[in-house]
Amino acid sequence: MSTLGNLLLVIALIVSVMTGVLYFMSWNKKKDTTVLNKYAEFGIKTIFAILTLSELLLLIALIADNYTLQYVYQYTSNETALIYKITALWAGNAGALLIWAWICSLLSFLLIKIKRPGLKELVPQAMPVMLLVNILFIVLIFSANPFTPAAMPYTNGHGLNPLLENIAMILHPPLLLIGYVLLAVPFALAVSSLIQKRTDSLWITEARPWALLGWLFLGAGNILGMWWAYVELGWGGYWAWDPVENSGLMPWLLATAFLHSSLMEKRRNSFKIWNYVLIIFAFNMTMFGAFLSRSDILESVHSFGSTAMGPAFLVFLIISLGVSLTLLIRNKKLYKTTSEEDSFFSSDTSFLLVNVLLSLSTFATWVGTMYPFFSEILTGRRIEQTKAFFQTVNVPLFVILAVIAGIGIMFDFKKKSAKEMKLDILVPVLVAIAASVVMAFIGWTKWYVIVSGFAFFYMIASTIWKWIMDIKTAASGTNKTVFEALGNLFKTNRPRYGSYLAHIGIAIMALGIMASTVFPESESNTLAIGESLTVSNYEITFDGMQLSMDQIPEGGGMGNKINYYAFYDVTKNGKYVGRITPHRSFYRSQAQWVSEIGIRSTLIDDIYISLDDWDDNTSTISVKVNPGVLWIWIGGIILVLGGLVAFSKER
Amino acid sequence: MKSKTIVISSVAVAFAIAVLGYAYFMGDNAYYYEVGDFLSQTVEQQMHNTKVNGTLLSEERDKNSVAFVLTDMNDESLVLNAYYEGSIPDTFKIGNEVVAAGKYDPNTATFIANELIVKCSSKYEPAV
Repeated sequence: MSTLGNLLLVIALIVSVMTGVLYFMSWNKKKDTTVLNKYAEFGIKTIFAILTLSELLLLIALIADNYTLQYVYQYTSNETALIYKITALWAGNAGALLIWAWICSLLSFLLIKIKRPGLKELVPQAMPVMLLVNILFIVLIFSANPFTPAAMPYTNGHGLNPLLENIAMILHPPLLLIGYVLLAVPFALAVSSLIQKRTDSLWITEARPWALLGWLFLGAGNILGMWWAYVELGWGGYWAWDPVENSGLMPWLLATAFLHSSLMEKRRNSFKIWNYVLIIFAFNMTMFGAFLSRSDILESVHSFGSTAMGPAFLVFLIISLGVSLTLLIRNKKLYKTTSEEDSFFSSDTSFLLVNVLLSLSTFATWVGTMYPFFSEILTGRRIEQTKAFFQTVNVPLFVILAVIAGIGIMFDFKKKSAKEMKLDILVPVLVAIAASVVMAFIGWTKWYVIVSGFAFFYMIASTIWKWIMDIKTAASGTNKTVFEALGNLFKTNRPRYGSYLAHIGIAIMALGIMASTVFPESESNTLAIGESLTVSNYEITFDGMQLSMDQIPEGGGMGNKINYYAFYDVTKNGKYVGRITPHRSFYRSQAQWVSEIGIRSTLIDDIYISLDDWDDNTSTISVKVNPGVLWIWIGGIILVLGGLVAFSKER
Repeated sequence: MKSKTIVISSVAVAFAIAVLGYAYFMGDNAYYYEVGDFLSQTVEQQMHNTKVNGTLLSEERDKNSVAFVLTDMNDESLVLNAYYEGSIPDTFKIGNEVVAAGKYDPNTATFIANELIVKCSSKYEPAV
């Protein structure tokens, strides 16, 4: 098994290098390169086939409990459920690298399979970039290899950490990985366009669907990770500004900017340099993130620990950034765009500001993330920035961004004067003011909450108002009903209304994040049966514990999992709302405790109970009341839906 | 250069500089040490907000508080006594790498942590 796996990897590496050379040779314009291209395409297909085989081989080993592989021993056991045997494919560093290489080869394969004339023109110069990424990951696999033979003959494996046995953990890692790799495609197309010295926007047209899909996967992956941290880890939060979390956020921010900015190039033939810069940094940020989690230059809870992969990543980053930026600077004059718009009040300005604000947010997040590294070099003392830093620098940017998004959507890419838009701005502003007043009435009177609340409400109100106006325009003069008109709009312009949904989603998320960051309340205490704890307007009464055992093996004895349930009756403002049952389970084979938080979510707030300790008559709990958390998940779902709607047509 | 570009880029540059300045001067930041390095600091510096990284050597729990000992990852003879109150992460287990965030209390000669961070279980590669 091990030999076969390694053999496949070696062949994949050799074919990748050879295919790269073939593509370089095919650039020669003087010769007929049809045959060369055929061979090169055959190479791409071969790499994809071989890596698919490797992936299948590992999958078979995992499912069949083949403990001759160290990786199988580490991440599964005879008792592991089938689904988690499959997800063990990406549970460890070595497996994740193989998946990365495989997805990359799949995308390369799709690039030659998709019959689009535009793509065909760009592929010969784009493919070496994809191959370079592929080669990097295959080389890295040799230093963390899933096909390494086991240290000794095992009869049972160590098993997956039970903390990861959760639906979000099945999806979160592959979504992020796919998102990361997808961003390689628009980057490769951009480099191709730069090498060809193209002045048209062909690469933008071809790159947008890939970028949108990458953005979508990254966004969904991040949101699922937040949700998992919230429901599983028990600290009541969902984002810790950890370096590895930040490296999932930064490429997403830049990809968001690219999606907006590239729209301007499509529509108005402007922002050409911006688009190159944004995609270059978005992609390289994904590689930088992969580097961070595999080196020890920063401390992260997600870190793979110190590995020998740092230098390989650095070399790749230097080549990738160096070559792409050099090409861009060399061709700079080709991409100078002169915009006819110089007035401040224009769609041009609003899009420019979107680019600037999102880039600044990425920069500020990067500074905070890298601060310990640089401070140690410069002062000898490692200094970390806390959550407060990241929040303070990012919140103002996003508040301004929300206002810009609200105004910007009214322009419709047209020239409009402030006068024409008076009503379109005034109505949503009034709605947002009304919403902010309501907020102040329920006691959220901190000035920065009112200001940011206003901005996010304005963004939502403005988007909805614009939507209503569009429907009115579409329905006027026809005898269609409002709903028919709405349906028609969706049919005819999915990218636009997908983006409206995404705007509403992100603003709702922002409101949820704001509420749950500023106004959580927490309390912890030890309760005897019948005793109560009051947090905010909730009263929690302890009603005893129960012990249960799972999976009792045939012939009796103890099961692997022992569960301790604690019962709490909860009233809100004196009214009974239900029973919450946090529990803790002990997995005997891994000697690992797993806490299940008891959560009751409502649109207003979540009550969140973590069972910390217990004895015969008492239990110790930490209780948090987190307002608005549900809105984060609702907004997240709307955001992803919006992306899907937009993508369904963008292809 | 158009006036718009000039205005926007200068505001952006000003913001970027402000971010750096904020990080440097105002930041509610924390020092980061391995156990050994932390022990060699002056008491005054130890009382600053700090994150200490070490291996969990022993722990004694009482309800939702825990008194524990961290050792330096390279030198087991260097130890730090610490105390934490709150929900204890499931992965807080002897032998695991732990980051304790908090401040040193010279009166009790104990590091009072307000946050415990254990290396993410997903990447926890078991000792073989």
